[in-house]
Amino acid sequence: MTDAVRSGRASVPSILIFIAADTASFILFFAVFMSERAKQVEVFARSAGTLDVRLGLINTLILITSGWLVALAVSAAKRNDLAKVRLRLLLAIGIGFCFGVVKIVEYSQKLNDGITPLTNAFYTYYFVLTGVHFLHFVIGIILLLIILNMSKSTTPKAQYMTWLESGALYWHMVDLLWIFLFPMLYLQGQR
Amino acid sequence: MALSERRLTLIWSVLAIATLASFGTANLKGAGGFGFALIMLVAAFKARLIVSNFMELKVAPRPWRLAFDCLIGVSAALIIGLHLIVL
Repeated sequence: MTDAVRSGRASVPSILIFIAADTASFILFFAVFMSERAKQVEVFARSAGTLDVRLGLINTLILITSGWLVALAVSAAKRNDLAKVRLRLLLAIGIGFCFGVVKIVEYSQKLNDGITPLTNAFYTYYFVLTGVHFLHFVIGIILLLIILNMSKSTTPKAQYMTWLESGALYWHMVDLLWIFLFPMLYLQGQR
Repeated sequence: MALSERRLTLIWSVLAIATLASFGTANLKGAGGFGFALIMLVAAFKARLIVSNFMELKVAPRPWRLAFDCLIGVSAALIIGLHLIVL
């Protein structure tokens, strides 16, 4: 975060406003999901039990690790260590990309088992919530790729830092949303 | 490695351990009742670590810190509350 923002002298990056609004909209999704669950507890618990918790766990560890690497890239950028910025961004993108691969494997398994968004209310929410999150993930990967590409060009430092810090904040939001989605969808059983 | 980077690595370790601990609590079948509430509290703790350290909001103006703390608190309270209410 820039010194001006840190001291409160400048306006907060507009990306923070977007992140707060986007997170708030996800809270509404959480509320709708939990309200529907309250009406069909057994169906939701039984359906959640068919999800592969190990894949959800792997994806949580992937996003946490990728987010850590992006935070380290921001730290390196503040020291003008461009070689480390590039390496860390590349690793963050590579590891982050695995999230998408695991998710596609998971969707394929469900569809092969004949489970679709129309199977029951749980799966409708499962596909919609993870689908909307997946869209955020794809946008995040594209942003990180753009920022990695910018690090090879002659973009002025201030402009590059704005891009890097905004992209990093967005990527952490993808992680943040998954931190709530994973237990709510995968780990929520009955008693 | 700079001190701040060591801190980021420490936070990453805590996040990974907390994730594995939640998985251990729920195992492959999921958890219900207060076991699930505990898992969601750990999730809120992890979210706060990400917001404060990776997103660097601990050095942002106070209203922004409060706003994100509220978002995390409301998310966790909502999910835990609606889970426990149907027990």
